[in-house]
Amino acid sequence: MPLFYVFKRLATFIITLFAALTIIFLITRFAPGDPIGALLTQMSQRGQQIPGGEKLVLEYRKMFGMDGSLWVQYKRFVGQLLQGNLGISMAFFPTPVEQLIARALPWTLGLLTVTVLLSWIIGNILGALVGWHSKSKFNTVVAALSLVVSRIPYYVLAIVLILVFAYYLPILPASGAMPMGAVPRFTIRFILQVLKHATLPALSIIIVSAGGWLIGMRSLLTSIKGEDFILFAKAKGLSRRTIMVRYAVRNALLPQLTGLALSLGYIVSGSLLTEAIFSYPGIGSLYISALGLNDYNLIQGMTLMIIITVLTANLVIDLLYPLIDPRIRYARK
Amino acid sequence: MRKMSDSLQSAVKTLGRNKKFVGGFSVLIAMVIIGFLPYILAIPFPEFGSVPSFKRPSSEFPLGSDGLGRNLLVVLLYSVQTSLYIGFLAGTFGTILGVSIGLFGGYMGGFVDDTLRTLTDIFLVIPLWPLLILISASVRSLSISNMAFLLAAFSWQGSARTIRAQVMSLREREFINIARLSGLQAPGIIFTEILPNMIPFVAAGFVMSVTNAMLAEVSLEVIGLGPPGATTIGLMIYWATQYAATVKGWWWWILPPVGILVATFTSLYLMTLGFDEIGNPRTRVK
Repeated sequence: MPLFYVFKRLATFIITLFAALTIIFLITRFAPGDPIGALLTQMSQRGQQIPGGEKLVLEYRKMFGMDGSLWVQYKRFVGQLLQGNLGISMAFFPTPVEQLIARALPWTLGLLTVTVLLSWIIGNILGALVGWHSKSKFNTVVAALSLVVSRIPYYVLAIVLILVFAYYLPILPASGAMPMGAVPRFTIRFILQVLKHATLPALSIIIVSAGGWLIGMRSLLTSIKGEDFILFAKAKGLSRRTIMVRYAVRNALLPQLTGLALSLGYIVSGSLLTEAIFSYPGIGSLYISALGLNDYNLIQGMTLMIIITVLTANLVIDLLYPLIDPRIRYARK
Repeated sequence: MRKMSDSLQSAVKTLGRNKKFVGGFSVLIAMVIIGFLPYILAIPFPEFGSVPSFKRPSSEFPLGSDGLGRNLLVVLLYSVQTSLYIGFLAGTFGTILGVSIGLFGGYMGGFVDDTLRTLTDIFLVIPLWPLLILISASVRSLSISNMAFLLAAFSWQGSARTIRAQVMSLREREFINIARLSGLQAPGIIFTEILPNMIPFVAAGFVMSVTNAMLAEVSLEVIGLGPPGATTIGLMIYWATQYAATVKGWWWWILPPVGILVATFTSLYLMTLGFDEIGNPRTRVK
C-alpha cells in the first residue's frame, strides 16, 4: 500500500477528529445555563451544606476545567484528552467519567456485538434466498415487508414489542438487564436471566437491521443476476445452487462486508434510545440520564467516545479495503 | 426559464410512471391531508386539561385521552401537522443549503471546492446524532422553527455531495462552454444552464433531507428534547413511555403514533427507491 495513501487517510482522520473535538468544546462552553450553578442547586436540594459560596464556585470551576480564558480551557481540554482523561462527572461526583463509561460499556458492547452480527447473518441469508428466487410471490411479500420494517427506528419497534411480549403475552421482562437486586455471578441461572432480559432489546434491533441487510442483499443479487459470468456459469451447466452460492452471493458479500464494518462503528451509539426505552444499563441509559442531570462532562465524554469509535471504524475500513478489493486504486482523486 | 419548465415536465412524467414513487407519494399526501384536518374541521388545539384524563377509547374519545387531559385523537392530528411541518421546513432549508454548496463548490473548483468538500466530508463522517442531542440539550426549549433550522444544519451534506458530483460531470460539457463563450457569467450559468439539469437530483436530495430531518426530529422528541408545549409524533411516544403505557397495555397511546411513523418513513423510502430506479435502471426489480 502506498505510504502516501496511508498518510493522507491518517491526516483526514486527525483533521476530522479535531473538528469534532472543537465543535463539542464550543457547544458545551457556549451553552446557556451554568453547569456549576446546576450542580450547587442539586447539592442544596439534596440537603447538603454548601460552605464558602463564591470560593466554592471558583474551586469547582477549577476542578471541572472551566476557569481561565476560552483558549486556556481549550488547550487544557485537548491536553487532558490526549492523556485519556475525560474529567470528573458532576452528577455522580466525584467519579471520573471514564469509570462511569467503563461500567456501562460492557452491556452495550455485549448487546450490540451480538445483535449486529446476528442480524447481518440472518438478513443476508434471507436476502440471498429472496433475491435469487425473486419470481416467487411469497418472496415478494417478504421483500415488501422487510422494506417497511427496515425503515422503522429501533426504539419504535421496541415499544410495540414491549406491548406484545410484556403485556399481552407476559413472557419477557420489559426493562433492566437482570432481575432487580440480583448480584452478577457466573452461574447458569444468572446467565439465563441476563439473556432473557436482553431478548426484547436484541429482537427490536435484529428485526429492523436484518430487514435492512435483506433489502441490500436482494438488490445486489438482482443486479448480479444480469451479469455475463452468471450466464456463462449457466451455460457451463452448473447447478443453480452452485451458481447462487459460489457466483452470485460471493460477489455480493464484499459490499455487504463493508456495510458490516461500518455498522460496527456504531456499536457504541447504535442503541442509545433502545437502551433508554428498556432501561438497559448501557451507554444509552447513561447518556440519557446524564442529559437529565445536566452532567456536561459526562455528556461531553460520551459524545467524544461515540465519535472516536465511528471515525476509527471508518479509518480501519479505508486502510483495509484496498487490501481486500483489488479493484480499488489508492490515489482516488 | 423555458428550459426549467421543460425539464420539470419530463421529470414529472418519468416519476408518474414509477410505481414505487407514486405509491410513496400518495401515502405522503394522505399524511399531509391528515395534518390539515384540524384546519379543515376547525378542531381547537388540545390544551392541557381540556378533557378528563386517562379515558379509554370510546365513541366520545375514539383514541382515549392522555394523562395531561388531552383528547388523543386531536393530539394525533396536530402531531402529524407539526411533525411534517418541522420535517419539511428542515428538509427545504437543508436542500437549499446543500444544493448551493454543491453547485458553488462544483462550479468554482479550486480552493473554494476543496474547502467546501472537506466540510461536506466531515459532516458525512461524524456521527451527527450525539451532537444534535448535545446542542438541543444545552439550548433546551427550542421553538418549532429553531428546531427545524437546527435539523437543517445537519441534513444538507447528502445533497451537497450528489449535486457537486453532477456539476463536475456537467461542467465540461459543450453547452456549458458555449454559454461561457457567449459571455454568460458564473451565476447565470449555474442557474440557467446547470440547475435545470439537476432537478431530479435536487428532488431526490430533498426527500433524503426530509427523511433524515424527521428521523432526527422524532429521536430527539422521544427523549423529551422536542419543542415544549407542542404536540408532535415523537413527543406522543415520549409521554407514552413516561406514563409506562406499554406495560399497562394502553395500546391507544402507542399504536396510533407508531402507525403514523411507519407509514411516513415507508412512504419517504419508497419515493427514494423510485428516484433510484429512475437514475439507475439496473436496480429495477421486475
